Amino acid sequence: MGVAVLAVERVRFAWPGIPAYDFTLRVARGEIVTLSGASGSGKSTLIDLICGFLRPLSGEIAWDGVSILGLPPAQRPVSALFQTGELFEHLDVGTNIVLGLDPRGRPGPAERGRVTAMLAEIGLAGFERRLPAQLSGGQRRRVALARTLIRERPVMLLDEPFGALDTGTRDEVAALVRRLTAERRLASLIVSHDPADTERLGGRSAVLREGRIEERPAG
Amino acid sequence: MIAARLLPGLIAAAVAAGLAGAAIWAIAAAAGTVDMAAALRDPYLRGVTRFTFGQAALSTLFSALLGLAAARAVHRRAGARGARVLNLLASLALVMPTTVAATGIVTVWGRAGWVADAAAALGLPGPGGALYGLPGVLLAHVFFNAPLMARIFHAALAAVPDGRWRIAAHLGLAEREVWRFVEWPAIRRVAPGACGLVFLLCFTSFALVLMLGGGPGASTLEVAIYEAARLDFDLDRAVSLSLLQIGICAAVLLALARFPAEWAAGAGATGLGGRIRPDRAGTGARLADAATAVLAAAIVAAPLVAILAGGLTLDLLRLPFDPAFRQALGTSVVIALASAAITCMLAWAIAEMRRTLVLPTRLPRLAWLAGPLDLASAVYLAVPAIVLGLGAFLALRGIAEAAALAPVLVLAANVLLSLPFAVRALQGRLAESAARHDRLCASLGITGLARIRLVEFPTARRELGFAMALSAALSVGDLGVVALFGSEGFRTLPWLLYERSGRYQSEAAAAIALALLLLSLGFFAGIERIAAGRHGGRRAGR
Repeated sequence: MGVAVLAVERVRFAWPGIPAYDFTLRVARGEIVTLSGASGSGKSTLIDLICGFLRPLSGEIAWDGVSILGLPPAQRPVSALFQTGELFEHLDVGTNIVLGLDPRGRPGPAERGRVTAMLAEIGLAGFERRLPAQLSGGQRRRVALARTLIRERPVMLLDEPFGALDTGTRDEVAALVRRLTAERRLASLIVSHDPADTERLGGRSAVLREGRIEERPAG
Repeated sequence: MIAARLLPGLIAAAVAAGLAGAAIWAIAAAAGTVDMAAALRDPYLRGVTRFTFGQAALSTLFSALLGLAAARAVHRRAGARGARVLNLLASLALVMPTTVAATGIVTVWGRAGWVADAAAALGLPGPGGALYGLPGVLLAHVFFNAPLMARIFHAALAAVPDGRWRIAAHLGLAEREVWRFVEWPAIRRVAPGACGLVFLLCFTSFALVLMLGGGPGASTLEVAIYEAARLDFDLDRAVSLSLLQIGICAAVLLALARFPAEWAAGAGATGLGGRIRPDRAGTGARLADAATAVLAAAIVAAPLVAILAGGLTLDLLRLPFDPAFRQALGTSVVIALASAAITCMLAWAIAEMRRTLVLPTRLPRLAWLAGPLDLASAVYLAVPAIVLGLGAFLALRGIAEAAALAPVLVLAANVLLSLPFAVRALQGRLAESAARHDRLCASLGITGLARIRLVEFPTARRELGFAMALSAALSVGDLGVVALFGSEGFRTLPWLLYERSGRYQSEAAAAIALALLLLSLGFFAGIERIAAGRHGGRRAGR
């Protein structure tokens, strides 16, 4: 394992009426960790805690040794792909992606160029003006992934990124995630139900069971 | 941060509640000189209260029954031409000025109306003057409120998830079971709120009762306040009537606060339900739907046709040359546009604050504030136009001439009148947008004006257009405060129509009624279309 840069240390959180979660996990730069677990095991809760949508009861979440708990979601060194509601349905593909670079939605030529390049990279060249409703499930997911990647934050969180993709597209997107993680030295945490995704992505795998994370050796 | 989120809504709610509160304060202060105990024993006041209650209850009952039948018929006949016509009628009635509707109802059901002509031709006794009094008030209230109920009930049926209709069709449920297991659970959620709203609208009814009521025996509290203040100048009586009205309406409004403000949510519904429901082909359903269509045509469509037919005379061509008409038209247009703009700003701020309070991801600790906020936006139902006008008159007595402030008072009353409808139109969409986009916006740092421009406005522009169009249409047709303060120097189109009707200039009144109807429809259709934009407020969805 390399130097741990995203550190989730003894983070406790509880939803009303169910036992508290107690998360500990480290993800290094350039590393992919795939997290699996049964429904309700707390996978999305962990993502929300790292993103800053939930506040832990205790524990620490740090990046490069510095706590990020006091930062609002947009200022955390994290770029996330959520399981649902991943696109603004009324905005076209280009605007959806450019918001990752400029949250005011007023991009210059440089930003537009980067969007065009990113679309080409994910196999959707020329789709800038399309609305999300005009895309297939796989294409929507890739657009959301493009926005996640274009933010260039050192930590990438992907919640069920392959859910709506066919096998061929899964392989392609997994290869893209693998390549970008290595090239940009990202700390990538990927939540997935499918054990085959661990094989696709390589790296370590971990399982959430009874509110705790159990690490597995690299497969 | 929290204060910044809530401040616009707090200011908007304070403006609405402050206007009403000032009126109540002025009336309560004036009540110091009134012997309320003696007033409450007054047989006239008791009679008026009894009639107000009775007509409101009966109007609510009949409106609910016809509205429910119409909603079921439209849902059951989804896609059919008749269903589209019923929908159109509901929209027309929603924006129809009350004075215009009263003119149409008289044309159909009056002493010399269509029904009387038809009865005479058949050798049957005509309705005579029976329209004036309870029958006329009920007809008019059902004309307006059955379509409103139909819209609410239809939205509830349309929001039933497709899966439930699939199961009903799969199991071959009979009409009675469809009602029991699928429709009633959806209707039950919205019925108390809808009935309470209609009861209050009928309880505080003014223009319709003024034109169709027929004297002291059939008068609502609102009309009685107007008569006491403007005609008899008996301020003590006006104050005691106002206090009684405010007390009753506030009690009903507080009871209503227990019921959900959002009338329908459509998760899992695509509109398929009406096309696959198993009772579409049943004989009973067909007969019921046909009977509903006939009844709706008699009560809602006939007065509309009468206004069109009655107004298309030479008097319509003379209107543009009538200085009084031109003056009234200009005043009405300016007030309607200003009212629509102010209403929508206040409604947006209140809806934004409300979603901040009720969404579990935002400020759950302050969720209790949502109830008072709803009351503030619906304050007009407790303090309607005439009470507001009386309060302003009493507050300004000795300081300024209330008549000089008539345009401001009319504007304020129109804003309060439209506010509950505008808030309801906006709050569902804004809450849905927040539930959908909050996390994404927070993670990307989309905040403030950028969020309004990029996210809220595009997703809610159709609702904003509807709210603005409805506000303008309601304002342009309102005969409320202007009835108290209208004069030759300040008149609106509804006031002019009422004035001409009162002078028995029936042809001129019919022409003004048609012009007013066209203006309301023009506002409604035009503003909604402009606000919805080139793509009709495109909303993509899968």
